[in-house]
Amino acid sequence: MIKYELRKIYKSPVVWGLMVVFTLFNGLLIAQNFTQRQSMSQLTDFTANENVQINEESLSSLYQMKVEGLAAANERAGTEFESAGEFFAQRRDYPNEVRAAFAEVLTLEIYYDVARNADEIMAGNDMVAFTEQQIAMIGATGELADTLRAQGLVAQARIAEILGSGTHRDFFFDGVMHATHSHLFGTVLRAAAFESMIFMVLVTAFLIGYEFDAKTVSVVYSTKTGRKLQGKKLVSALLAMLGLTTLLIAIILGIYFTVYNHSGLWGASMTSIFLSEFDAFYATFWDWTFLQYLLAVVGTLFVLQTVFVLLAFGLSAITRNSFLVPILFALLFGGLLLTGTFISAGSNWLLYTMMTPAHLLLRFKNLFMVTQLFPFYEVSTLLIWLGFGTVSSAVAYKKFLKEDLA
Amino acid sequence: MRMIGWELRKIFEWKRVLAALVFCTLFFMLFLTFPLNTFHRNRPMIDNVRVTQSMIEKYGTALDDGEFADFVTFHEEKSRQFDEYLATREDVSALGFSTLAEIRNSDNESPEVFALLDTLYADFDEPWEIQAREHIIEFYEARRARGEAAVGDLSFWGLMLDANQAQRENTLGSLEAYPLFEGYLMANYSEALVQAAAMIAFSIVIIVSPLYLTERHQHMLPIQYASKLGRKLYAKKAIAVALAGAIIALVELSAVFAIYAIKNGTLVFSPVEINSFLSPFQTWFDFTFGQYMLVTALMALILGTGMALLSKAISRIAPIYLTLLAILVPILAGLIHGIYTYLLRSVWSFQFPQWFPFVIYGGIALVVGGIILWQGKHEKKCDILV
Amino acid sequence: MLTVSNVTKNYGKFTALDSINLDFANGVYGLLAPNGAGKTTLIKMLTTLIFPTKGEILYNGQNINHMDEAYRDLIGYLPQEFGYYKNYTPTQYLMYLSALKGIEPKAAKVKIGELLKMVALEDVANKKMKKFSGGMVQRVGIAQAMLNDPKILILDEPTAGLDPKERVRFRNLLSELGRNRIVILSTHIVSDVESIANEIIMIKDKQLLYKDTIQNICGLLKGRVFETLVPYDAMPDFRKQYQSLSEKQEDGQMLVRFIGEPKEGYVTVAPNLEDIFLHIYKE
Repeated sequence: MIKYELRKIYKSPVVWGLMVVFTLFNGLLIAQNFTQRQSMSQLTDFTANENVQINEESLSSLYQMKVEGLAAANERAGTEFESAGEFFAQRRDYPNEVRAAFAEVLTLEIYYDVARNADEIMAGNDMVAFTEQQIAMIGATGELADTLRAQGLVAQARIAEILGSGTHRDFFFDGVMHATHSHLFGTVLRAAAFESMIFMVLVTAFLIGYEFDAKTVSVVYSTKTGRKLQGKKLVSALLAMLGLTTLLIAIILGIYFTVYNHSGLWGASMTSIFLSEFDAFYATFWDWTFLQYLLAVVGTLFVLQTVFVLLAFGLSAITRNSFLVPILFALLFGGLLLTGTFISAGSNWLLYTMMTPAHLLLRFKNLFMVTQLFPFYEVSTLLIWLGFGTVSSAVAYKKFLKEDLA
Repeated sequence: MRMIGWELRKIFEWKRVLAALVFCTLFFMLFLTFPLNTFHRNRPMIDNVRVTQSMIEKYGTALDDGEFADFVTFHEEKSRQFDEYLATREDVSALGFSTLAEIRNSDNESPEVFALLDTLYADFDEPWEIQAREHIIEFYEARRARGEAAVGDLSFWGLMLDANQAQRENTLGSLEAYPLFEGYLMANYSEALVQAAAMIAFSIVIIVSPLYLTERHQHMLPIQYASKLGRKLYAKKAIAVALAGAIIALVELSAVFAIYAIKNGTLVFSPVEINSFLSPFQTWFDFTFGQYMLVTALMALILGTGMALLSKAISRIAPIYLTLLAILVPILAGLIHGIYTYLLRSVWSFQFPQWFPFVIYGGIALVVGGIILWQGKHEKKCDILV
Repeated sequence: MLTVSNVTKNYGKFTALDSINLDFANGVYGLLAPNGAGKTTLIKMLTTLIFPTKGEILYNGQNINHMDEAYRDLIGYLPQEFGYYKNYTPTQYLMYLSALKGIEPKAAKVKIGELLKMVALEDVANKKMKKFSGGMVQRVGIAQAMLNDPKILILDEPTAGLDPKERVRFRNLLSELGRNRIVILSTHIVSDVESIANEIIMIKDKQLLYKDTIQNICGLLKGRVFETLVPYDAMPDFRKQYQSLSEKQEDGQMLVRFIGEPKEGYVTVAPNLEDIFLHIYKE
């Protein structure tokens, strides 16, 4: 039975058409960072020679490369700049090859400076001050402010832990130069999560309302399988979610990592000092490598989609119209984002209203980071909403078993 | 006309209208509150606006050299008055300062100095106003000081100029009086308009798009097409849909504009020309802000009508709701991710040729109109099978 | 006079109807054929929903598609799957259709009142149609087909889903209506047309087979339709020998109506339309 339900989905040209549209769009998103490729490859070349951690050896190696690079660039330009920074600070026009040569040196200079000052930079991250900023921004008072401050201390303790263990001394793409973290997780994977959500809501609504749209209700629901078919439709929707999301993610990540070579960096710590970007500090609560983090984020994405399928199915308790279900879902999504507006800024409930799949989706690049609301924010949010989704689906299913169909 | 009335009644079915209303409320709270409600909290932008507003009240909508000189004198007087007050403060003198400029320009990066600045900026409007006036003075002088721009030069706002653009740049630069239009107003207005247009597009999709699909599921087509009106019903439906799109756009635009104009007091800037030394957004046309708002509102109306017609066309061919939404959702996503910004603001920028907005909107009208006409022609000849 | 002149309809390589020639004058015509024979295709061409691949359909010498709205103003059509807005009342629905039919609101209101009375729905004129039974919905369908007092009334399977009592009511109504207009009734239920049709049109293998009075058509099997009693265990052999038209249990045996040759024990009966239908369309 499930096989037949799945067939309705994978035989639909619309599903594949959407997949193509999304893939093309994702391709454009991935290409946004294309100009960074050249200087990003400088790091992967560097780490390919076993220089994965900041230590005397790698620093010295980096320094050597920088000096040699500068000499070569100066020779090319017939100049005597003391640094690539100096070159770019002046306004004289030089041929493109010269600019490119100095750009390479600039990259090395930036990595060297950051690497050299890794400990100071990491120590300079003040999570307590960051928390106070957040409190001021939200206008939090009383109980909520206290809760946030307590979490700020937890985050600060994590910084100390990172400094102690030295995991921040792994090389990674420089966040200020390349912003790879927010590009991959905040732009590309977040788009994939939204696209998958759109897929899943449309497909679930399509399956739920199929017999009603095709006017086969009287025939189908009076068979031996009967109304239990609706439960099988839910299972099919979940399986379709697995299939389609896997395909979408596989294509995106396949393209991404082909375009942006990450060799040698899969084992880099997600607390690397290089990770942080111009106005955003990134470091995970746990000692994860880049690969582990990527898997955790992808896993979160899959669980999120499961929640979305369950919620969409739950909406069928209100209507089975395959046009209205997606509309209602969109209203639900927007509503979840806005529940906080009705809660006082002094109550912890404001925090709880941010524990929704909608908020998770929007804060994708902050998943599992110390800047997140609290350490197990993602897991608890997902568990709660898996619960909600399951309950709402069960209610919708039970209602379906009892109600008049024709 | 009667037929159009019937079709409109079907389009504005209460369930979909309710869903659209709820949607608009949520959308407004999520995306429109920022440009509309935080207008007054955005410092120093709002101070720039307030200062220019007081200048308009004093000097009119544009500032000439004589008025500028007067303004400079006024600024110096006001700064002096504030400095006189500062001199009486112990926390100021304790740090060895006597004027606001000294504090702001100090090399002393101690926490006490930062704290003093924080206090002064938090407790008084004068530092913000002084800053705003300095900004205006700096930009006026810089604009006046620029000589004739030639082809290949950069404009005052950093655009590489061709021959026509250079001429326009020089025309604007050589005006006897420069319009007093603060750039934040344009940025804020544009954001509000783009979000409003997106809200309109979504609500049109909710209300209008299921139209044909629903009728097909209800087996209405044979009866409709075998009647006297017959296949001409398509044209009536198209008119009804266009009207519905225009009505939805008009209602939502009116609501947004009412809030924008009344709540934020931006109506006072309506007679001011937008090509100002204070605004990076320069156009070929000498719009006043009021005219620009009207023109862009009309553009949003046209886009809403176009969206309605496009939804109708897709609804006619989509066999099921999944197809309908699968086609519309990427279109909506594209609109809100840049297309609307381009269509409702960038088109007027003088970085593009003068004819650009007309060609773009003419193109849109042609494409949408072409689709509707082609579909209508097809309707006349196609077999109506169940 | 409505004339179907050498009409063929192809869908790609598939031929639905081939070289059909028909004339219709005032009266009731039964378009009788099994499902899939092409009845609905012909109906849809008569109502301009689809267009002939070859040939043309003329009304008083003019091509109906060229006549455009002038022709559609003359027709009333009740389709096979009759579409309606379930949240509308019959009055609202008929007002909408009268707008489609170009009838002025004032005149429409009067006409709607009359029509709802004619189909015995005046008591539920302002009740939402989603609460109606199938028969009631079908009666609204008849009413809408009559809104513009059509010269040509075309009904496609109008009695599907109606109970016997409603069918009788329906037949009586149609008989009345057929006095001064062309009524074309497409059906595979013989009893629908047997008592009221002036002529029967039968289509077989995509072509016109018969267009004649019931009397003449039934005459095709004159003297060849018999009835006899057959023991149950003899039935299989009997069926192999003769085409059985109907079977009824009587006095412990099977009373069989069949097509055959005279024989002792066989009672000659007058052939009816159902007999012809079964004989012509036997596999």
